[in-house]
Amino acid sequence: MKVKQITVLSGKGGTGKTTIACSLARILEQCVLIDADADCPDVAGYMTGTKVASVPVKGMGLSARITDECIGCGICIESCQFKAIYVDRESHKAHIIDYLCRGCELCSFVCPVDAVYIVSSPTGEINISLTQKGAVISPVITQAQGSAKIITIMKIIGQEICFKTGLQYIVIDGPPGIGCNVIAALTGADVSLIIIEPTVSALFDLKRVLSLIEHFKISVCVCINKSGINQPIEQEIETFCTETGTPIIARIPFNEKIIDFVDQGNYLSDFPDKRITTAVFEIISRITGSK
Amino acid sequence: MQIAIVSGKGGAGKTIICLSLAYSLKSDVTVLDADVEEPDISLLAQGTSYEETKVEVKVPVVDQQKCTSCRSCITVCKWNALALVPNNKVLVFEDLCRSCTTCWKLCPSGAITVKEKVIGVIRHFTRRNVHFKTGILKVGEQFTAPIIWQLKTGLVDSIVIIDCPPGAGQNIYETLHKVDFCIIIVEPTRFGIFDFYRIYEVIKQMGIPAGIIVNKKRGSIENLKQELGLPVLLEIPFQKDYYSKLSPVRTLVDIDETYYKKFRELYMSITAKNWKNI
Amino acid sequence: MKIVVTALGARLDSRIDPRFGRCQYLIIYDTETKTFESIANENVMAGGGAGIKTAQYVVDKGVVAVITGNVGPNAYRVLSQAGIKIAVNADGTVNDMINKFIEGSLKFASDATVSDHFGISNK
Repeated sequence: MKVKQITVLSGKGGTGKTTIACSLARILEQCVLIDADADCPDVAGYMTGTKVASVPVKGMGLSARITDECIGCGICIESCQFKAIYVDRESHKAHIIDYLCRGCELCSFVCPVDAVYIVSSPTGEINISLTQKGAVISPVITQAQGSAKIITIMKIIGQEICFKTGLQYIVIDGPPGIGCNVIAALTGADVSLIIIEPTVSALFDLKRVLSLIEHFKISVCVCINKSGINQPIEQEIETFCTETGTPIIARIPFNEKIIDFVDQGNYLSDFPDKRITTAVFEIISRITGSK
Repeated sequence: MQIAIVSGKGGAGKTIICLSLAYSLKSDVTVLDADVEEPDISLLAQGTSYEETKVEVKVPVVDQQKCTSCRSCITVCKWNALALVPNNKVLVFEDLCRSCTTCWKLCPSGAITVKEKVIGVIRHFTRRNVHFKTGILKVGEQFTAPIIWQLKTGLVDSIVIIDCPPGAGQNIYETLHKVDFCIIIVEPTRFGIFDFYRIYEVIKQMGIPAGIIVNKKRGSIENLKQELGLPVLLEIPFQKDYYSKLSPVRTLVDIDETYYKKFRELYMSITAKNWKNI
Repeated sequence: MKIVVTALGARLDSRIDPRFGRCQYLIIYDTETKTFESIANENVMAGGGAGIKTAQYVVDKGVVAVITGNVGPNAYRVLSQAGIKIAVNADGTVNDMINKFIEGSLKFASDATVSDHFGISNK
């Protein structure tokens, strides 16, 4: 029995991915929701559930350290491609800038006096919660280097949960942009749902994320959120989608009251305005129906 | 003075505020668009005339004749970008390579050299008396740091304003390295505030002084201001008609001239005070 | 000769794992001695390049054929450059596939069957 993975992306940040992804997970009943916005994970604080497990993720990355044996020759500084080493003016010894070090270990290889050693970065954590109707997997990362890897591991855990419990859907709340975290969230998806808002930046960013999705040959569809805030741009989006054969499967009208509603911990699918809830349910029926 | 505009949350208004601030200061200003994955400034300010330079990184090239199959390169590669098959053939996977140059430096038989690979471009242009350098990552590439390094070198103006990417990931560290002050744009919503705390952690870790602009303010935020723990330098109210008024390429100073003064005063308050590292 | 089959378990009656790079187990079967070795795949949780690492492992083991569900472009490149035959769309158990190989009824792929990162996907 095949598990269906839906990755929610946007290109531009702030279009409504998390709000919509969480509502979809609520409606889908029996689904695993994964918070793949590992650097700014908002899902766990929003979806109510009971934490049942916490999985440590070891060795998220490596970092170099320099001992007092350093003679200040500067060979490591010349070699480092990540600008992660500098000379301390007082001691004349080299120091590593931890947050820039990528753990390639070149400095340890070139150091003539063996003054460099390598440590494993602090562990991150993956939390698994059970909600009324499914599971939520969310990351706690302690070091930025490991975020793509933690996304990959969360997906594998999600697959295992579905395999063992019979849950049929995985919804992934993706990060903004088109970088490695987005790729980690996107790969293996059956369909990618792009949440766009009618602004020029969002349309510009949509084009970039679409070409990324095309590269991975994944089905794509679009939902226009905050519909109505800018008619001319919305028209441009519609034209672009028609020209590229990208289906627009729902339009969620802008409503200022949604902001407070969500802030209070409520879900879009419960909002007291049929135009909103109909649009949200429409996304579900288009995604589950057509695949 | 290097000022970075960050937010944690996407869509908080970094780019619009960055441009509004730059246009208020008007001279001796460079704006860097460090959101190289989604470089909106190239859309909002660029126009059609610009100069473009390529950003290249080194990737390994292996000479099969000189290779002795010692496997040093494969052992040291942290990104699994190399594989060895029979007949001393080392395969290079350029997409995975992070250009650390370790394999090249360590190959005992000199079989590895490097070639340049383009990962993106930088565009230079001047608009409204402001100098712009925008970084644009080639779609599909994942290694963004070299573009950010190139953006931050060769800067001439005394005021540099950096439009940063959203989030608190690895590329934020490269972007904020050696920055003098961070303006954190906070959207006073559930997610905006969660994400503020994330980026606040990063800025604290890096020891950079910071202040807040609250954007899209609705109702009273007096309680919130107490909780945030950093000085609020400016409050911008939410106005639904801003969505259409700012479209397609206008900034706050274009739709409300009082913002020129507000942003100039904001800049003065940043430079005047002796900010402690947070 | 040695062949490798990707599996969900460590036994010959285990079901096929359709993934290559991130498969759970690699079962290496020697058709001459009729013995096998089960290896828990270390690359399941690899950050990136899992396909390349698993392919490298298999190349180093001296296998002549890989039997699996799907192979991504990176792993495909390593295996094909090493002259290893690749049979995809495997189904059933490890034993089923070994028997088909011995019978000569397996088809060998000429191109990568999935785009990158397939292993981070469904069973």
